[in-house]
Amino acid sequence: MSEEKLVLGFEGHTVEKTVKLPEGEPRPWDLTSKLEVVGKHHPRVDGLLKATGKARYTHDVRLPGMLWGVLLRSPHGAARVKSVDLTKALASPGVKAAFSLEKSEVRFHGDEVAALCAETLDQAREAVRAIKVDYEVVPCVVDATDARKEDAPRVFAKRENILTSPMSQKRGDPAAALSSADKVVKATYRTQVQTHSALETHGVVARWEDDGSLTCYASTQGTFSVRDGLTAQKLWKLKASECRVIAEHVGGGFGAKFGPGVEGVAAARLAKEAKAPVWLMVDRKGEHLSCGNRPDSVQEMQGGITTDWKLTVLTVSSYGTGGVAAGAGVYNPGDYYKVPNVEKREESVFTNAGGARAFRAPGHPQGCFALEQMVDELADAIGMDPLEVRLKNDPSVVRQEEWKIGAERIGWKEKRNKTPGRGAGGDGAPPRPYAGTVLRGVGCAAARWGGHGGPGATVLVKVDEDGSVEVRSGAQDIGTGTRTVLAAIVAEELGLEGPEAVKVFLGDTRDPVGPGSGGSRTASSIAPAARSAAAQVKDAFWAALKKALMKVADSPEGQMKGGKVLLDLNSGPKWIPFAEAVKKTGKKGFQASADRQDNYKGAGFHEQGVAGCQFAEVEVDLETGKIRVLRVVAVQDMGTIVDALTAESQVIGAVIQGVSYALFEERIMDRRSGRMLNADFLHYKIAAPADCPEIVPILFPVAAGMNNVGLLGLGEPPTIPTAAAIANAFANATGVRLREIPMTPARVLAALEGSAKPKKEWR
Amino acid sequence: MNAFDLLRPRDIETATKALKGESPPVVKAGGMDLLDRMKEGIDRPAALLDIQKIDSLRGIDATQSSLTIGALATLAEIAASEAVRKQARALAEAAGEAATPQVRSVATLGGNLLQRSRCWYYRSSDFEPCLKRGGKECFAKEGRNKIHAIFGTEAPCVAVHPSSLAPALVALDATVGVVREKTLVTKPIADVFVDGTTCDRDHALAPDELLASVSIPLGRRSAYREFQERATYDWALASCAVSFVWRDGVCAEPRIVLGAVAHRPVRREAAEAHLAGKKLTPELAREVAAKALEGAKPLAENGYKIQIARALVMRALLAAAGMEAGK
Repeated sequence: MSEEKLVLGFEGHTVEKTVKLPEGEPRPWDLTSKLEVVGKHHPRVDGLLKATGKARYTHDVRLPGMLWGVLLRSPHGAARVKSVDLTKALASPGVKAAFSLEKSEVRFHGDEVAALCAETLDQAREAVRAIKVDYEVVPCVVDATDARKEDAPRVFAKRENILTSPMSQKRGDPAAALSSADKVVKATYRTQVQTHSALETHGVVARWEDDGSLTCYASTQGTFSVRDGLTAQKLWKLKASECRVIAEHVGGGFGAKFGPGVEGVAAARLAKEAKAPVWLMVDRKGEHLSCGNRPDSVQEMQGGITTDWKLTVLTVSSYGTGGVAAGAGVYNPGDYYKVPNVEKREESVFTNAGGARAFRAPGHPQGCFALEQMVDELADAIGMDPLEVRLKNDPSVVRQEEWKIGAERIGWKEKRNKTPGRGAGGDGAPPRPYAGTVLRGVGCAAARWGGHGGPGATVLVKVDEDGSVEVRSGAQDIGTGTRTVLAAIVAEELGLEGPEAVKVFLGDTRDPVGPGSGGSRTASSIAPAARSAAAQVKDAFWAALKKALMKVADSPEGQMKGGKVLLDLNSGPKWIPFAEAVKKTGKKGFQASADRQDNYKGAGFHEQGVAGCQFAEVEVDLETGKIRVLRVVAVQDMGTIVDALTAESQVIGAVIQGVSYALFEERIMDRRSGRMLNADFLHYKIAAPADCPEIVPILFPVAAGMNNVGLLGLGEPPTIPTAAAIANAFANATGVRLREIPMTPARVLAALEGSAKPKKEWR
Repeated sequence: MNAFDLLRPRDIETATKALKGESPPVVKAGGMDLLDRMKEGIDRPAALLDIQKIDSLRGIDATQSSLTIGALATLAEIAASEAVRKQARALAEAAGEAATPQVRSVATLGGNLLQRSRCWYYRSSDFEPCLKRGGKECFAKEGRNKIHAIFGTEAPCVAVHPSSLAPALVALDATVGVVREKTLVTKPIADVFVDGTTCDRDHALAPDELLASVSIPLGRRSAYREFQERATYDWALASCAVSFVWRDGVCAEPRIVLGAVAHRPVRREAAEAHLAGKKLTPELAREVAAKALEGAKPLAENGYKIQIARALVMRALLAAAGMEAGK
């Protein structure tokens, strides 16, 4: 154990902390570190491969003799399965294997019933139509509000539809606080079911090897969790070492891709029965129906504020449905602002719909949509600028700065309507040049998240005798830029020119163990291990130089830079290329692997998690109800910025998904049959390029100091506040609150009309 | 998708010959709509007649008195045509706003007019066949219907006609040239479409008829406006095409046609009458728009279409008169 004094925080707010370092750890980066590679803008190391179509995704895998698998899904919302007859399917052209999943009942539209494989995908799709299933359709319920009623059909015969969650929060005396607050606002906020809709669907290509082991190419967020899911099957006996999972490139994952899934197990089983490799990627419809979603929510909220702008109380009572899965909660409203009195209660309701899975900051976009509108409504109630109210109540020193940066950038002072709905600059200021019936407004909202990462990751760093550098981890890059982040860290540690000087191998369970990509913890878990391993390689290299009787400085600190090493040759000190220096050691190469250590106790800057905030400017067409998001300014903290370009890209992607959540995406269910009506990309609408606003990502670097890199995950936080900021901007434009997403023209017009609500409403 | 025979004639005669008989092949032009239906399995034709190699169905010809467009002209060609933009602005706008650039460069005029409804009940193979597929029930009427009809909702089927080009062509008084065997027949384009009592079809052409061309008389001012939730790659929730003869600043013989609100493009005669012979002002446009939506009978979830359609009528009128305030 050694001790290091670190300077943490950010310019204008620094703290000194002493940390105890585990053996062999390099000194953590802090505000005094002079970094050459880390923190700059680097293009992705696999960017060219992806842009030229050469990157191989699971969808692209083609193996010799490979067969094509397809799943048969329930066309009913709920039914008993009386029989499954495979005879005709097995006799169909090209079919090599088929099996029934032996379910006695199906509980949602899209529930898997049987699987088969054939020589071509067309044959397989045709053959699956020939499977005869005798269903006895039973009543179903797809809407959470309906499912809570006493006479609602039970989704599970032996369970109540309503599941009360232990995920509740209580502090202070909310009831007393509500009666003593100067102003109280009561409102109900609603959010919809959103499906993950990653561009690459779930699926696996499975091959049984001659030695009895199983190789699976998988589109996954967790190579090791897919392996564990496959070895846990009772269909075969496989040890962890006998199952290899490969995810070289992954076409996106937002939380739904961790296990092998029904599709992965089916592919392996079909491959075993057909004695040939099997490709089984879920189609878009199956993806919408059965591969995860974000639960909806109905949140009844109360908030109290004093006339001197203090938030005193927040209560929320929520319910929502995760279909046949639980987990329809929203985050704790008391975690954002200093609020002394908080109460949260929530129910998760079972319905006959595909099961929810973790989705990019589970519970947070829903909760933020309610909380951040409530904050605005409370500010309105006391006639205050909602930004001022936030500054007064926000305990995060980071976000205090971010609010100011964002406000400046969006033009909060000039653009905020003090009298919303008038189309004027507020308080009698002259109207801005609006086109026809269009109003503009601005709004803001906050995000917080953890993302510290932790143990459970090992990284191997190798320097070959020719000086080439390689990094290996079995974890995957789901499109977030993990490869580039690791390359940048190792390049920094070894004084190489940049990330492109490092070859990174990811996504193969034969390589050292790594975490699943959830909770924004991939980079934050493996980056410190990569740095430790690189530091060990550097030390070994330096020792070897000395041993080879090279005249070098005592320590490599400052002696390796820009791909060169400073050696004192006969002709005097000279910077020579790293590869040459490696050659001079006479060694065959160097390698080291390092484990991710625990985050240092008592260190770190982020007890509250990472902080972010967003500002949106919107335009509302009063005649058609169309909302156009003009601009989103996203200020985001992430600890140490490793690659500014991939970080900005993450923020931009998250904002796009947030805009899409706010305006377009919505699972539409037929109530009677329990079927999803828009299991496609035509009626399930995702923001297209022309719908995207100008997005201004502003990274807010903070020296975090909880491990040797100090990076916090960025995958989730920037998608949390977007919808809330847009809703607040809408209210600022029109003077009308829209407490429900997606903010479709139908809902906007209904809100503007007040009474002209649709006669019936359900989802 | 099922396996099928593919016929690829090079002339109209061979094509129409192939369409005779007991189970004629299904005509395929760009294939944008047909292949979607085949992939979903709601249509499983044994044979397709691909007309893409028939060159005489292509091209846009302008004469002194009319504009004739071949059924195989793509939406991209129509949108880019100088003649169409000048003489039939509504059509150029409709073609230019449809779908995406990729779709527009493949989708054809004929295919756009004869495509099937986008009703999500009709389009799903998981549903029992609805009226459109020969079944007994319309699931949309009491189901989820935010994309469905607001006019003619007393008819058995409440699906809407999805074509953007159709309302524009109806507003432009277009005629269609239809070939049956060796005979070319000309009829008003309005006769191509059917209302919601003819549930199982979205057009009136017989299986052995081939849509060859569309002709538009010249001399009308026109404009087309549509509304979709997304800026691109989306279907109109409502659209409006208008045209009139501009006589000394007065709108004569006006046509006001709404799309995506009924089983077929609907002319709004009362609104036309209110406008006829008057000088257009923004106030008058507002009155005419209100008239155009009189009689709408929305379903449970699509009342909002009335407001949107009203705005579109107003905007299309002002655009056609060159008084556009902004989209």
